[in-house]
Amino acid sequence: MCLVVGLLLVWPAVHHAAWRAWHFDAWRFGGFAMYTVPKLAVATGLVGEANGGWVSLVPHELPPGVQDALARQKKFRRALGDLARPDPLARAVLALGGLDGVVVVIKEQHLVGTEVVEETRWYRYSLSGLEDLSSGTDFPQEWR
Amino acid sequence: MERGHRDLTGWIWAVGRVDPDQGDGVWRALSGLLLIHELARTLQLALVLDTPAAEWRFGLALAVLGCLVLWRWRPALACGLTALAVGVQVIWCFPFVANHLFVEALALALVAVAGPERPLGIAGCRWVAVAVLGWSGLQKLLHGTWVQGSFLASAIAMEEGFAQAFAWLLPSGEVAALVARGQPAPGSGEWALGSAAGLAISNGTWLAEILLAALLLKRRTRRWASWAAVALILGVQLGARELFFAGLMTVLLLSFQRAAWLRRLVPVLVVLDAALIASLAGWLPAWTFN
Repeated sequence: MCLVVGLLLVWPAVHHAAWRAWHFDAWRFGGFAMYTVPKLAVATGLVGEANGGWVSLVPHELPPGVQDALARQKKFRRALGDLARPDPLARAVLALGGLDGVVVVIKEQHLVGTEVVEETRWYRYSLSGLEDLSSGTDFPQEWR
Repeated sequence: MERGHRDLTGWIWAVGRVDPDQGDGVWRALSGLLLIHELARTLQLALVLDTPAAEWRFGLALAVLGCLVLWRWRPALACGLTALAVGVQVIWCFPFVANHLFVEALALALVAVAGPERPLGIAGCRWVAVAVLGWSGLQKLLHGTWVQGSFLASAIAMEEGFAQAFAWLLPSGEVAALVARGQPAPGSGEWALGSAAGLAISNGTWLAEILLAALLLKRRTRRWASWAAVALILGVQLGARELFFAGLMTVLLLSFQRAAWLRRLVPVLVVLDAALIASLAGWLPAWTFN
């Protein structure tokens, strides 16, 4: 009983530290941090790589399987934050063929103090292996 | 106690020991209320979830109903089995699990595990109330979005419930201006409350949560602090409209009171939960059920 209650009292501190690291949904996972941050927009975009160039991938023009993977990625990203890597989405896009790689761009808005800031993360995957090769430091400006 | 040995478990009674003549009554009322609440919760999830199949979801609700019947003869076992049912729902919903499910599972498990040590089970539920209340306030402070009212400002802009509630509490111009700004976005400017009333409410909320949690740990103040906390929880519902959660927290906070108060809550909770389920099923106008 004491151990369980002790864990209950300590866990929210762990939750807060983990939230700062991974930006998951603060309203979940037993941290009692409901009504601390608003649930703002999370947007996911796709950019293909082919023949040394960039290829725009418009979500609603993609096959239903990829659109489902995209919707699932968005849903899990909102709940799990950085812990929800877009690996399954990248696999689904690369399985379409015709691409040497794909970059998944995730833009997340956060209320920090009194300002809304947007954080962008890029996950770059290649055909040779499904790896997160970079964080987008050489990503073209037009896709930022 | 032998020299050199310290009691590392005495702190569990910082939430107070229930009066000996009240222990059984408080425990039975508390356990029964938790089971009633959990039956409604299981029905709620059966109605709103898509997976697993309906027969599993409603089957689990039937199992919890069975536990409610079992409670009459084997209350601790009924609570333990219901805690397992909540665990199943956590698995079904993961990672999209509302914190309420964790609170419900924990409270039921603590009540069950304490078994014949009923004052210990009551203490466990009291600690759950203290933890939820205190950490709700601390998290607001740690996230830094309540000192200048930035969370409330964004909530008023984004959610009709908050705008309607704060229309009564804040200068009308402030609420209208926030609503007109629409969804908070990058470059949308500063999100903060400017009025004295707004800042008082924003800072008063997290301060009250932390203070009341602390006062629940002091013998002289815990009875009225639990009532004040119930009032705070119900007041927050003007904007939050999480009636189901308010019911759960009220049950846990009233574990600090005499058994008679918990027993009085039974018909109230039954009617509230029935109305919320009826609204989910479409038999009554829609409320917020969370």
